[in-house]
Amino acid sequence: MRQNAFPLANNRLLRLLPLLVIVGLLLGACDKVKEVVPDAIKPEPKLAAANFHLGTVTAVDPQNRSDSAQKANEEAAKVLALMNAFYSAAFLDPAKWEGGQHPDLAPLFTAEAQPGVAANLTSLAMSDLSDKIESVESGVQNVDRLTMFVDEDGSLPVGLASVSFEAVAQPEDGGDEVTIRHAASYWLQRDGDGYRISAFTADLKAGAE
Amino acid sequence: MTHPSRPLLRRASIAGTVLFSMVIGLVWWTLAPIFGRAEAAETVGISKVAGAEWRPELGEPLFIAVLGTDVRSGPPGGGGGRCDAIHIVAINPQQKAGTILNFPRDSKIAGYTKVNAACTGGVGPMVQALSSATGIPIQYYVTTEFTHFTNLVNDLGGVDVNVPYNMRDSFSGADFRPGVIRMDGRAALAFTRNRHDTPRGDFSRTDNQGLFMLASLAKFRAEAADPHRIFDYMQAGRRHLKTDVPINEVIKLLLLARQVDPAAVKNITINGSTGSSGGASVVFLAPGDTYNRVKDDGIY
Repeated sequence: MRQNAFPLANNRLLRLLPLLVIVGLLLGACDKVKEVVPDAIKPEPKLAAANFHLGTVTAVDPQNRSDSAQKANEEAAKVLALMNAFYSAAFLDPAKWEGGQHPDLAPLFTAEAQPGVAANLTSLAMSDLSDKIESVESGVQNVDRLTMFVDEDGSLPVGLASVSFEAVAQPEDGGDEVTIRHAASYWLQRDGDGYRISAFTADLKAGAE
Repeated sequence: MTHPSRPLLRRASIAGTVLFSMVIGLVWWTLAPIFGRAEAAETVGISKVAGAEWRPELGEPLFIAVLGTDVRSGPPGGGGGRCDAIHIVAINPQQKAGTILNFPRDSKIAGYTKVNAACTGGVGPMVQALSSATGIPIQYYVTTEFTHFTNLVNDLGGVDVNVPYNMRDSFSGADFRPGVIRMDGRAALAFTRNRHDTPRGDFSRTDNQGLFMLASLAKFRAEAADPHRIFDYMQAGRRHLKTDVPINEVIKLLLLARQVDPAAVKNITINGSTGSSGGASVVFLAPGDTYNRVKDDGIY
């Protein structure tokens, strides 16, 4: 008669095996379980504020009038407002990205310059990254250098702002945070009581650091 | 006593366990994406580099009359003098190229025995004379006089000019050897006024004035790599030139000029011969097809 060396163990193992398999599979899957939160109850992304700071302001006046520097500083406040509006729409406020189209940007440019916005959106704004980024926080917002021209009649019709901007963005997929650096020079043309952008150069870099 | 079906039960139990495990595994695999299982795959990081430079296009070719009067001291373009520097600068914005057309001051054109006299009535009559003689539509003018030209060059720190031959002329004060010279305002005025010690007199003088303009363009391009330096040129221009180019067009022209290689601008002196008319020494121009080559696209 053939004898089973481990009769009792085999029976218990056999009975326990399905349970062990289930427990093992569940344990293996546990660490991969991710809480899925419906969009409706997701917390709103933190809105980063646009708050540009002013560096050097230079008034260029062929007549060297004594009040030119003061005039340039007064106009600088309008340039800061323009940059705040630009970078809010371009990088800081996801609600303004509109699927990467950034419709609030074009009105900040002269009519002549607006075709240049659409053609260069990938260099001017979040654009093709907008569907990959959940939120943005900015640490550097500077108008490093502003030059304003004072014309013969004392008006300030044109200027040039060189700007540096840095931010940290959180990707939608929970991946590594992304550092965004944007350096640009904007030619400014007087429009009514303020300024619009008439020409520009821009360099954008985004990536994990 | 062994149950006759026990081995069969054992085999069935093992088979059932294996089958059950497979079913559980299949269900788990199917439901895994809900639990984020698929995201165990490594994500590709976000990375981007982009750059752009944009300026408004000027569109059609531009033609600008560039004039220098022989007034020694006075407001630029103030009138009352004769034009010793007479040029049409043609710019093709699309091709980033152009032509400088140089006219001897004694040219007998447009009803003038010597066209430089047209400036005594102001810039307008001179621009009209050039336009009617050449068929070239001139949109703007730029003018200056001796003192302001000198101060313009000094304000900008001088211009490096490649002097083409020896010059020694007591009338103008020109005293140069061939080669590149950093010219201050006084030297620049002497170089552009000299006609007595040149191979072809006034033809050479007007040709050298074109050379000086090209040297100035090269200087501007080098310095305007920092765009804020453009304001230095605007300031010097406002102080020492008179022009009817609107300020916003000035910006467009300067931004274009940053991209124009001086080698893409031809310096052309209108051919002709000296002679006499009514007792006056004049130049009879022989432009050939020069005007026709330039008037449509600004390119010779």
